Amino acid sequence: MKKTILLFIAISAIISSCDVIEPPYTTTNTGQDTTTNQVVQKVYVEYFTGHKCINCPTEAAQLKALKSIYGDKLVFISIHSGAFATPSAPNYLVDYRTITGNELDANFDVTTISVPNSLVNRKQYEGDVVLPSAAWGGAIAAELLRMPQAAICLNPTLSGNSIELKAGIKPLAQIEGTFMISAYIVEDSIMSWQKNNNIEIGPTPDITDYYHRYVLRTSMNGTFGDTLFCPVAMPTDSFNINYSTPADPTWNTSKLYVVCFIYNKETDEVLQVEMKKIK
Amino acid sequence: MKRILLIIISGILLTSLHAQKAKSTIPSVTIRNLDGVQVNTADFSNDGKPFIISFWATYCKPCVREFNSLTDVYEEWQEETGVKLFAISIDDSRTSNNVLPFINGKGWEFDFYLDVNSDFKRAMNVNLVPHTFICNGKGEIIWQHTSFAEGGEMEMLEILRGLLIEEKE
Amino acid sequence: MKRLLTVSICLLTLITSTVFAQEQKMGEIRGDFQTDFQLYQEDSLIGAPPVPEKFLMNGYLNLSYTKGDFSAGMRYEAYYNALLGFDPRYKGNGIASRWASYKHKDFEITAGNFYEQFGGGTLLRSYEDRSLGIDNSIDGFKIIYSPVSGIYLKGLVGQHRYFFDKGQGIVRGADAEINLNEMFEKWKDKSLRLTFGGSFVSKYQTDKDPIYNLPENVGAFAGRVTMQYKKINMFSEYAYKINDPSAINKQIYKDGQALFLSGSYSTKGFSALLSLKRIDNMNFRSDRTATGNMLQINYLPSLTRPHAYSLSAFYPYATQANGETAVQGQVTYKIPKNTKLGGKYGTDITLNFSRVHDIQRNAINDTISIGQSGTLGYTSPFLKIGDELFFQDFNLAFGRRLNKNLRLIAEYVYIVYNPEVIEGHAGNMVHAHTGVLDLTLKLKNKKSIRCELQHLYTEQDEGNWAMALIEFAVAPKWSFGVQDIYNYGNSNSDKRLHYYLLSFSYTHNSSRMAISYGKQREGIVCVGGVCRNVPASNGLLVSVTTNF
Repeated sequence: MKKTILLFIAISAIISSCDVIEPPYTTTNTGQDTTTNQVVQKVYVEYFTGHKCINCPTEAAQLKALKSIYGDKLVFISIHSGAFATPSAPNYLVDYRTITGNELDANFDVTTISVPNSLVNRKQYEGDVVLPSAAWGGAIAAELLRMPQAAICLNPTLSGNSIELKAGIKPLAQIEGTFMISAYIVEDSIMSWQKNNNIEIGPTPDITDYYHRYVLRTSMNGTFGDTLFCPVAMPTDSFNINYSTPADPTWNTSKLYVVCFIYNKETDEVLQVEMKKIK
Repeated sequence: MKRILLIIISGILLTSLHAQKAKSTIPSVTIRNLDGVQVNTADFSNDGKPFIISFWATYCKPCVREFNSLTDVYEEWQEETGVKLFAISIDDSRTSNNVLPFINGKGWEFDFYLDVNSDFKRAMNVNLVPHTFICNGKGEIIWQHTSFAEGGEMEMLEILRGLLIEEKE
Repeated sequence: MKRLLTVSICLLTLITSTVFAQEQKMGEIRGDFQTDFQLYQEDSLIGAPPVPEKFLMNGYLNLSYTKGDFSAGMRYEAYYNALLGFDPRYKGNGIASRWASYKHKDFEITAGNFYEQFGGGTLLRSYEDRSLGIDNSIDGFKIIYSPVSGIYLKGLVGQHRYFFDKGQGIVRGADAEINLNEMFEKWKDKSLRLTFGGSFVSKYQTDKDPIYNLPENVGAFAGRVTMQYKKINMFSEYAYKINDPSAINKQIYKDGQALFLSGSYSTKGFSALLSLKRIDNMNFRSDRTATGNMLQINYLPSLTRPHAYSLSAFYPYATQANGETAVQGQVTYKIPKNTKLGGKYGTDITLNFSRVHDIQRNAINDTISIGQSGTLGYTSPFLKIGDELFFQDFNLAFGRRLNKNLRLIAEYVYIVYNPEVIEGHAGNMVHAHTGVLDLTLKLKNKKSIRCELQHLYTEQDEGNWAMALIEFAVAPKWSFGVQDIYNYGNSNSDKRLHYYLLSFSYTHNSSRMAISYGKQREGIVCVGGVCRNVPASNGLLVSVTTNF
């Protein structure tokens, strides 16, 4: 008798739980954009993809939707790596893979899990560092709730065939740990073929004029960057760095950006990021 | 450090393997017979005579070969030793509806049971199929063997004959 | 550190009780151990990637202790690192599962990690399939109770295992099954056997998404009927799930339905089987963002015949949880012995056919496209079949004993395979014809030779393949094998490669060691909208398994 009651309670508890959602299914997000001079916390997303990955245009569209909500607060770069990024004849001969991209892929084991996937501030979100598209919204929202702890000021210029970066980093609070600084160069809106399986995004099976956004081209100071400070930085400190990298002649110099971020060497977590167009 | 621990664990277990001389009994797990009735494996018995428990699947070729070879000698073995074969199919819901048609198509005459979620397989610590156990009249496991090659059934017959002699003593 | 301590304590208690286990009053300890490790060589010809570790290994150890009505156990797993083709998030070592259970007459309670299936698994199945790297055991509580003979009740709650951690969502479920023949004395010996079952499963996961209003509690229910009358068998199951936007269905709010029907007639020497299936948006995971083989609550098996021969298994079908309609029919017949057609010992014939289509998807209105995220997605009339063909398999198999020592199996398989849907990469529909000959010759002194010859003909994908295998076995301990799979028909002459394999195995009662050396083809595994590449490999693979 007692056992029957126990089971009955368990079953009723289970049956009473059901959320049927009524439309509208999405919330219109204002994005809380600021036009003040206050320092904003930005989130850094590394999106791993490949031009032969048929699901990628759909997932990339999701990232772009998040970008339109968050604007400058969301900095994302596309890293082409793994089996779906290899060149193949006759229409996919471009090779967007880079040493930096391959090293990041190997380090975080991204494309061996699946493609597409992203790292959001290289931080673990609900148990995973490598996140599938359905988790990006939640992870990005969670990261943007944090208070900014550092400000990054970038001044990238193109002089001749060389990209010069002058950057200033200012801690806004006491930061403990060994922090690294990384600077990558990305090129936006590169047009080439992309495999696709979603009629809504474009023609299938190939989109011949797909715009690859913010494609990683190279790192200025190595894949994993340089040490910025150790073991602590105070709000009274300020750091200035200068980097210089030759510009590859195949790049479109009018669409180049520098992405610069600082991260904790121990935990890999990105503290702050900034992106600026190279003039 | 973790690897050293792994080695120590393996070492201790191997020595305890030799330390344990008591015979294992069949664990108590709920499976179904072909009529859909739930059966408790701890109740498996053959009226004091030895019996064989064999794990198989419809898509496992060596298992089919083993059962074809056993079918050829089953009648003789039953006359000589009174043995019974309980065939436990680990086919899951993808192929479990095919088990009855399959065995009828082959003309096998053993006692068949369905272990659709591999509960009995796990409890008997079976990793690969085919895996066959021989139990004495008391329901104690006295022999087991994994994989099958033609002629392997002869070893089973020797074990069964050995049991007969033991029981007569 | 904590883990080490826990493991050591568990082991010490188990070992000290092992010593006493010699007197059965102290309970029984049993366990099993399995390890697979591989040494990799780089091989650019077949596209095998360099493996920086050179040596990869998966190890599993199960231990259990039983005394009377009480039992407990644990599983320890180690990946240093996981073999190629396994999810690389299986890393390091740890206690993958631990459990304790008490079972007495009609009542059973389990705490810790457990496996369970409701009906056919359409709503809930937690199971382990090591070769696929699937282990979705539920860590929580399970109660099974049978109040009267013929009624079986189950209730469970817990979280899924996720590598060495737990999945995000909480899973709850209840199942009731009524077997009329066991319940009523009058029905006990009736030739009509009827069983009814019903289940309810729901999951909870918080919504932190900035764009979508996600349901935090998603519930699903199912009903099933099993009927047997003399030689006829029938099983059917229907499941319904409320809105469950997830990574797999691209965040649509449509409900999900699944229907499975299977009927068979079988008698000695003849059987006929027909199965029908319809799935519409039935991906059900405890974490809506999960993809691949992880965190699935339910089990949607494919309604196609599993193939056991290498070439006929080149193009396997994977169930499309987002929607499919499938049919499978099979007839088996044993031509009696001592007849002209059947030969001296009889011949068994199996004819099997299966076909899978998409469901019909209609747009909801003019402004919303089919499958658009953040909407109801589409409507799908229940009785209509979609136009797109996913998969078709027609196969015919003969088994015949030619003389006392010679057995022959011959198979013909014709597969039509849609790589875009099944693998997630663009390509033409593959039409593949495969022929298999499998001959076993029994020699004196428990020796035997087995020979396999296979040929795959296709004009798509990688072209034709041929395969030959010779295996020599000395029962019950030894076996040696040599095998070659040759892609002679590849349109790219650089890829006409031999994938040779040498194998050896030694079995002693329940322990087995298998070694193989050679090359393995690459493949792509796609589940839902996400794909994983299983790379080619060249090297030495060793598997050891034992129990005690």
